[in-house]
Amino acid sequence: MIMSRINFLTSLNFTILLLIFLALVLIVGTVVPQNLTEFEYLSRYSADSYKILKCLGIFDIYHSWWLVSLLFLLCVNLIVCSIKNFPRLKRSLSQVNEKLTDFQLKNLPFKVTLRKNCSEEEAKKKVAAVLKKFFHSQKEITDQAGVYFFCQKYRYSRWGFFITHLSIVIILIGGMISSLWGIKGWVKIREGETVNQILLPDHTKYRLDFDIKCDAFAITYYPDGTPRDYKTTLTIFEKGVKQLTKVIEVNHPLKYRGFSFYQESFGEAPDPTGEIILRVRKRGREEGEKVVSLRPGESFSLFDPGWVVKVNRFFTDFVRDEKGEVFNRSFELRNPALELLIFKEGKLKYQTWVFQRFPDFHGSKGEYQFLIQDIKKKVYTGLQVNRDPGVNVVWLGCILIILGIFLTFFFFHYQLWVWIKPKKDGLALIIAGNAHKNRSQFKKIWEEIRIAIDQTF
Amino acid sequence: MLSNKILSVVTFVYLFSTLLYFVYLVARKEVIGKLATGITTAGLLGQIISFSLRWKESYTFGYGHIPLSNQFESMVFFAMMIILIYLLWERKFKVKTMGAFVTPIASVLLALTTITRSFANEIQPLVPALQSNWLTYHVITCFLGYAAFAVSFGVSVMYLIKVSSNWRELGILPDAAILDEINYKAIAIGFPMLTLGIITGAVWANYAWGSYWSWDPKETWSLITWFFYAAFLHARYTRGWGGKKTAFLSIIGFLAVIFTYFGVNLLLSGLHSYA
Repeated sequence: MIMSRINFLTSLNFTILLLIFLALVLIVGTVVPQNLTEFEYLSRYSADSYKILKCLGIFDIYHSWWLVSLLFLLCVNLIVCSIKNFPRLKRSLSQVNEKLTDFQLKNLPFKVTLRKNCSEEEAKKKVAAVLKKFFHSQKEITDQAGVYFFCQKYRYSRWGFFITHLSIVIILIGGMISSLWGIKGWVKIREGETVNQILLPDHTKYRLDFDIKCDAFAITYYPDGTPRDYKTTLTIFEKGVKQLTKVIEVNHPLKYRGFSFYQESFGEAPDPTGEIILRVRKRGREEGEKVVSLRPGESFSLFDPGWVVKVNRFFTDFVRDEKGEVFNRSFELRNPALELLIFKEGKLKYQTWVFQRFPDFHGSKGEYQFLIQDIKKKVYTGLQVNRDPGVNVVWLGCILIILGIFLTFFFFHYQLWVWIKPKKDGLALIIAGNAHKNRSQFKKIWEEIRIAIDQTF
Repeated sequence: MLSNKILSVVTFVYLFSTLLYFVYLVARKEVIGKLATGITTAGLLGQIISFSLRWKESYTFGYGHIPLSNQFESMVFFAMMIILIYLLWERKFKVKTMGAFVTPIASVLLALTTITRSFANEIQPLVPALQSNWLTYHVITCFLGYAAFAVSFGVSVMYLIKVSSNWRELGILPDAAILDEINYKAIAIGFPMLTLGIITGAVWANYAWGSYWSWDPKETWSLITWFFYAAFLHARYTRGWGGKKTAFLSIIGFLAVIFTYFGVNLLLSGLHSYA
């Protein structure tokens, strides 16, 4: 009972069943949208069916434990089937009867007997010459019953199925290595900026062992104005020492120490050290406005002598937490704010926050009114950063699967025997052939050889 | 554009040869069969000229790329590959009646592109992701595979007509055994090509998107099709399935191919938005 179950798991029926089942599972994955948020799912499904489907892993079906188990079973099935077939294949390839016997002849699908009148020696020469045209090598044996020739072609194609099955296991192992030990992250680097951290999908940061600098980003266009290419010039530094510079573009990533950097996106981002254009006027007066351009940390003088304003802090996304502490939530320009310190003769008079979105909110304090006119942005390049230790294993599997499949489908193993049998009234030339598969195609080759041998006499 | 004008003519040439193959099927006149083959060959030559011209025209627009970059161009190429494989196999297997079942697929594809005008036929610049030599390798291998599956589909329909009780005596169709063999041979070409298509796609995706497999619907469906034909081959080769069973499987397989090609773009969204 247990043995029969194990036999089933290692059988070809099970392979077919697995393949069909895998196909069905994948169909489900393309029909049910994957990896949406809970909110999005609840707008599509009822709360109960959402819970059940989530439990079953339907919403992340390609990473569900049971898809992994199915693939594992496929691997086991492939390996066991290959092991089971290995001795038989090896035997049938190595234990070839090079001497044709009457018994063997009976079972061969292609055979013919020609009667010729010539010496054995002459026949031997002629047959050998013909076979040389069709085969790279030939085996010749002489005994008291006559002369035997044996030739074969594409013997190695029999290994095709074996290589194919093994390569699938290799590809799956490669995929497993990729998903277990691979790293996939993103980084946005402004022109001129250097970074050494990337953002992982779970929003944590990953520190690289080296620094990467974006020297420049550029877009080229076609004559009709559609983008032709996005190019980033990247330089790698290790401990401050420049290692290499490369221009990357879509389809041409940079590879360095196992990491690959792909051009993925681009955009504009505020520059925390960049220029800010500020308008200042005396309260209640429209004229006499002063426009200044400065960077965070810099100061400028006001109209009245002795008054100085310092830009203390610049937040792109100003928020206040529960305790009333202010902080910068993100690097996006959601709520840009400047902290200004106003000094009179070197003494701090007051401190104020100025908001770009809410010009009348805070800056209304004091004698002066400050307005943020512009925050200079910088172009950034968006890179995808990967480290994939499984990828070369996958490529190895891919090369092997191509080799295996091409051996299986485009070549077939065939064998040919010629037996020169001396008879009382001349010679009997027994020609026999066999093809492991593709007999209809072999028939043509067989006919050709048969006719060639016949006509050489 | 001259290439598009030629293509419109080719569409009608294919429709006409489809018609001739049907006449041949009924009338069984050798002359008509030869005419059908001749006209289909002329159509294929016309299509190759149109394809080359379009390639050349793209340079005058300042882009310069092989015309395999969008739905229109891929459909035209699909039709071209079907006719190419069909004509080669007509010579090889000497079964002209097959034409009545295979050429309609190519005719319909071209008719859809040139008559309905719902597929943009302008030469467009290549978006950055498509600028890669892998585009050529990927598209050619995929569509050779698809075309071989299209032939297996046509032959399987023939087979089912041949063996169905009402038509069993139909002498005009070739031997069921030959049809069964052609069906297998077609899949034995299509499957390696589909494998190459998936692998070239993976290599390319690894350059362009930084990941050889993303479970994009197009990728997933190509794998579904691959699993299906793998099951087919195992059933046929080691279980000895044949005849009606494999004919049905071939038809289902080709429906999966069509879904991979059209359905995914029409119904599912993903990275593979070009074609």
